[in-house]
Amino acid sequence: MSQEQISPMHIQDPVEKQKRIDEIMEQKLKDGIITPEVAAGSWAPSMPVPENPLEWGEPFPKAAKRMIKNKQVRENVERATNTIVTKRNMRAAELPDWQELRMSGEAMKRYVGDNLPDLLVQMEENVKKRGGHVHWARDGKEACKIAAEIYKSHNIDEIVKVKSMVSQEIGFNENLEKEGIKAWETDLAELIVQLADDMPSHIVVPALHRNRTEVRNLFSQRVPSAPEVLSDEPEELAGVARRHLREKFLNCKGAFSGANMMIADSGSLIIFESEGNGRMCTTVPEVLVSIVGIEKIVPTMEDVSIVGQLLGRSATGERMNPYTSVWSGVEEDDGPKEFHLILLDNGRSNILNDTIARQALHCIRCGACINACPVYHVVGGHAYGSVYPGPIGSCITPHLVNDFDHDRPVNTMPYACSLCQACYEACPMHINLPEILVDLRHKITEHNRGHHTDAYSLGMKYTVPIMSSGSKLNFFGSKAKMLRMLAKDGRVKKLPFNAVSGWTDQRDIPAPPKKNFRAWYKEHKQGGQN
Amino acid sequence: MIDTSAARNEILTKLRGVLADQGITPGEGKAALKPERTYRQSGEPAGSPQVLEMFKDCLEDYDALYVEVDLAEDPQAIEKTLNKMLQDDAIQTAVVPHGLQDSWKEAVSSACTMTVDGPGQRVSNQDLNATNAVVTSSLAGIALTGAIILNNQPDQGRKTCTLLPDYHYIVVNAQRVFHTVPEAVALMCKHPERTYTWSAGPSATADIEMVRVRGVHGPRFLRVIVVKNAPVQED
Repeated sequence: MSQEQISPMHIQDPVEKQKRIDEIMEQKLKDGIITPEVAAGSWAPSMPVPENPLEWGEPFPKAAKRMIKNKQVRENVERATNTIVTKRNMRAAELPDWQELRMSGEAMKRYVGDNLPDLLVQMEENVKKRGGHVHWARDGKEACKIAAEIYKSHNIDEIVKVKSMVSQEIGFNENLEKEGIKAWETDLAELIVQLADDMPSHIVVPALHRNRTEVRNLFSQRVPSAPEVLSDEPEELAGVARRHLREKFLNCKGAFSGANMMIADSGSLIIFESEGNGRMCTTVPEVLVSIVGIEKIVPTMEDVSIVGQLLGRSATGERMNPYTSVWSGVEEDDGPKEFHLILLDNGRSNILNDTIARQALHCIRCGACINACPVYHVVGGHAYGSVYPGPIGSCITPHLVNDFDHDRPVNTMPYACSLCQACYEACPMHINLPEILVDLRHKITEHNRGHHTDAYSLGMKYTVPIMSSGSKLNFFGSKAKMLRMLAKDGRVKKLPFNAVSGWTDQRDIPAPPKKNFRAWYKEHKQGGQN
Repeated sequence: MIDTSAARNEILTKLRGVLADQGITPGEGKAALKPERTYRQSGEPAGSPQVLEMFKDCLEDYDALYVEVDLAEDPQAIEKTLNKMLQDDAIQTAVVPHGLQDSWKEAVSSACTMTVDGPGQRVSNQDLNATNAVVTSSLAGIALTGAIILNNQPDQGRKTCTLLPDYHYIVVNAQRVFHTVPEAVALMCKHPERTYTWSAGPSATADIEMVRVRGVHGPRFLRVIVVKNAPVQED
């Protein structure tokens, strides 16, 4: 780019500004940064909102194949994840006690798991003491129903919403819409996803799969207050969101949030955020409802030191997120007049029941594992078919759904992993994600053993008699050299039969030697034992 | 009246059951052992030159304006600095919490039109939205991260007041600028039931292509006055 290039944001005259914008679009199109449809004012197709937020219907291998072909998404995801990983590594390296924080975090969350019922009761007591209401929900449907009832009792039909993964998990917006209540997303990325009738592709940066030009096009078409002439500079786009949402914040009577942590011994909730929409939603409207997963709890305020230091650095590669809000119950003249906490199970008690998977409840939803995953880098979030994508998604989604039938797409998630351990390295809470995934593969295999047949299970079945007999192994081993006929340059690149050719679609088998080991040993043994 | 006691009982019973299956009873034996904290609990002395230097770097990294004054050199330093900053920023209207020090209030009201927010005289949200600036004291600062902690006590004020105006002037006692996060959290632990807001730089987002941009919701301009040799208020 030449030095004379001015950002269109700073051009006052609308005609000149539009000219400059068009120039930039043309160049981007030429450079392959945007596709023709985006250059024409549209955006890459959205993922339609599914019936089940945890299972969108396609098995991972199929979805991955499709997503790999989407050039725009691949470009966007690769760029974004590389940026964030670089920053995260830098920020983690800055702290001399990073490993100690991880270990302390793990120890603290293990304690939380072991004492969960008591901590939840303590939390409930303290929230009520401070003038808040507490409700319990076994599943997402119940939670949505309770929330809707609360809003309706105040004649609220419009609420402002802070980004919350739990609300994604239970299809909160859609369920509330059915009850005649419109939930406005106020997090910039969630707003982008909502305006595009799309699904999120990441738990921290949900619109990672969109580039700035797509966002510009989206705002131009779907934000009523967006200016006629609009560049795709992120700063200008953020300004559009700011103006659009300020009006909502000041006028909505109802609000919704999740929480990063509940603090049991004071009945407090804490939200870490960057934009200030969390502060807006938990301060301005009169009625605040928060749905929080039962695992999102810490015993005492002191634990803020642990999560507060791990979260920002892991999630966005910054030392600290701009805004953190801590509140407890209600206060006179400051914040909402009425506060309701809904404690949600929705399968978390099942996860606690599993001695290997229960560490997944330690997750603070930072997304570092997702950013580190080489598979995610290539396919992006939509390939996983769950609002929880990547490593953590593949760990918790099958457990939350809790049906290991072979035909369910959700059970392909644990196989969307190369076991490279990058996620384990990156996890600030020291969760052994690969261990959970391998155990899931075991569970799925065991569940389907005996009543599911495919080439793989048949192949394994017929290998058993051969492998359990020395003489049979020797017999087949001596015949293996026949495969050499299929070898080229010392490798078998393609097996002929459909049943097994899939194996060689992704692997080469080294050509077997002319002699199997037993034959070789027999020969050389006779020659002397050196 | 919503009654979720059935769900409550079911969830708690289930949780106790799964733990019992693992041989765990909450609050007893192994489960009662407090988890170990092996991370760093403190660092360099609060308010020391290295710590203030670190604080300054972090704040400036976030595009906040950092000014250091010393009451030993000039007892009127805070008032003079506030007054000058408000004028430099061409502030027309400012809101202050009712418990803000009187001399600071004077410094503000002589630079612009000041409104006091307090019990019986709450500024409406619409009016706050139209106000240029807010001036508050603070609880503490964290040098490692550039965070400033506010509670909503009389000298720091209601949450809405520090949220809606575009310029936020914060006075921070140098002796309450800690090196590490645990030291500042220890202060919060004295009153864990209170409302707190941590501000580590102005509102920002990196949601579009991971490019960090400023000012989505919340004050876009942060002006921090760190004061040396000021008395520390015990809470």
